[in-house]
Amino acid sequence: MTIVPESLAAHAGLLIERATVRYGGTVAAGEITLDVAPGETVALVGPSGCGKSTTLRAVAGLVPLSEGRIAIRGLDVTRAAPPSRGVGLVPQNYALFPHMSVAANIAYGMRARRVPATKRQRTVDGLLELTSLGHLADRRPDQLSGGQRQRVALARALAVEPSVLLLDEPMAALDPQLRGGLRRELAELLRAADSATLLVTHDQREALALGQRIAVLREGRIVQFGTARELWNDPADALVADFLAGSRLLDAHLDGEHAVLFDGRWRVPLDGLVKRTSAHGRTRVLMRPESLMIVGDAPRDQTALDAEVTHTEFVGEALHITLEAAGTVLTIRTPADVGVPRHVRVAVRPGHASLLIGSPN
Amino acid sequence: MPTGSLSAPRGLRFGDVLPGAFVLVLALAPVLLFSVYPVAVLVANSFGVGIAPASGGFTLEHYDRAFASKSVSSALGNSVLVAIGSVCISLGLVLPIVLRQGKRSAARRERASASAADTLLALPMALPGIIIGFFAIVLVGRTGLLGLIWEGFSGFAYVFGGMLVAYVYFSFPRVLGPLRGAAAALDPALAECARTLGASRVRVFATVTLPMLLPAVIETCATASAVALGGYGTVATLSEGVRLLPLNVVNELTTGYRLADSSTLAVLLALGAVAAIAVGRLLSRGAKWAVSRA
Repeated sequence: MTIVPESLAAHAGLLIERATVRYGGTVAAGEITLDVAPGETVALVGPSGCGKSTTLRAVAGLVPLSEGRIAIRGLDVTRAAPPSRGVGLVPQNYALFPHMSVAANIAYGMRARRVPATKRQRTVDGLLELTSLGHLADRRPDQLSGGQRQRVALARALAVEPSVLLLDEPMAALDPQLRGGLRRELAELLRAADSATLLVTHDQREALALGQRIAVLREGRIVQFGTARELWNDPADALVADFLAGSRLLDAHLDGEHAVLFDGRWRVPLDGLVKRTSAHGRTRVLMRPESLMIVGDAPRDQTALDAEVTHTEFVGEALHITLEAAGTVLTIRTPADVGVPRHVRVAVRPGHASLLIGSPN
Repeated sequence: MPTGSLSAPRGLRFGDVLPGAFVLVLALAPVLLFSVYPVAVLVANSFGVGIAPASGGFTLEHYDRAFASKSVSSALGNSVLVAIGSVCISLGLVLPIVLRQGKRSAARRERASASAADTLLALPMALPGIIIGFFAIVLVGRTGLLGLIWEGFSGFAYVFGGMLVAYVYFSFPRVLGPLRGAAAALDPALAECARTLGASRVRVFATVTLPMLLPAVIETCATASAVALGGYGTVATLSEGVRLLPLNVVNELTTGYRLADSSTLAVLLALGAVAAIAVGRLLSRGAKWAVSRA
């Protein structure tokens, strides 16, 4: 579909249409199409090098598009310079100006845009209060903790009242112990802003917690774009299933009262599966770590599967067990006090795995 | 009650055998030998209490003569102008290069063409001043290449402008090297962020890049000026026109072996170079403080 000016004008937030970025002969981001409404947060997720940061930089105007268009608030900004795009960027390392105080950092964009001093001061005061940084207004960035730096960077970006807020791995520089609390704080701050927010992350928890919609990228292209629930329940492929939920997506076909997997080696009773219609063609079974259980006394029929334990990881309240069965790696979560032999039989825990029934094309 | 020590068992270490102060003296010995002693002799010579024939007894006569000499003050003025001017021009040429290189990715910096360009830019560092003077003669001497193209270039090597150009070539890598390192250490995300916040390129340079580079710029320029101030080879080759102080130092020795006068000028030259470095360090610290208070 080729974008037409009317559709550009109709979108009040961010619209990316078939955006392609090339570095020499390499396509860093290819034909990216997505939209973000004002007040909405869209998370771009994917493995390292998948093009998510490149997409973000293209929206900011820091890398040029080879093809496609970008519109912000209905205006085509594809060729606009970064200062005139109306974006606020929070880079991965926050890039706070080290020679300026917290207040001066927040005011920087407003000074550049020649906002009158009184309004500037009012905005800085308001953002200092919103981010609970009032007592640190005169501090330098090197006197702040990671979480405080993150809030300064966010306040600095919000100070220019951006139409689009761009967050590049905002939690990556923080200690894992801090992330939970700061994720909740960030969600509150994003809710307070009316910007269309594009969030780049490789952390699925961050994507699920902050993104109303999620785009999963692989090798520069969007594999799936939808709400967190859509991607969780009906992943387009194994990458999405694995990346977002740590799940396995196994091809299956129906045979009477069973879903048949692994060329007939595993026959899972249909009454133990949650049935969903899939928008992605083939019929598959979605196995999450909690979908499987070890069955010591299972009958020697095909409703259970022989598997070899290849790795066991104690995660506090549970054991994460990695299994190999029929040439496929599966994961299973069991209570921490269960002893696990090297060879086990596993079966589907009734009601905990999904059958995604492909719709005929 | 446990009697074991919590400290690790101690083995015999180099540092235990040689006390820190002794190691320091050992390390400083070459510096003391090659810097302090000759400088002391120079200073003694300049006051007439050095080695013969500068050993007639304490006097300030040589300093009086140096300060009263029009030739010396003219040469000193020229030296200062050439040193500061060449470094300032070099800085103007170097800044766009280092800022551009600072934006390049590490991979691009390592590319063969970039590496060849870097080597070419650093080449004058490896050349003695006398060769640089020779380059100036070959290009803009009386029968130089550029003089054949346009007569105005003919003999340019022997006027102040020609000397300045030759010293720019001399100073260029001495400014480029340290500033390239300083610019490479700048986080490109700072400038990018400033741009997205609405700042023009000029504003980004004035409010982000320059303040962060300023201490390095000042210190580099001061050091390069000090080196240019004492440079002898270039002016020796182009000596028939503008005179610089290092030439006077040598002249006092080669024409009549006036050791005390030569030493006096050498002391003044050294004091100028040391003052340039000291002022540079001071200003650099001041710039760091001012930038952090901005």
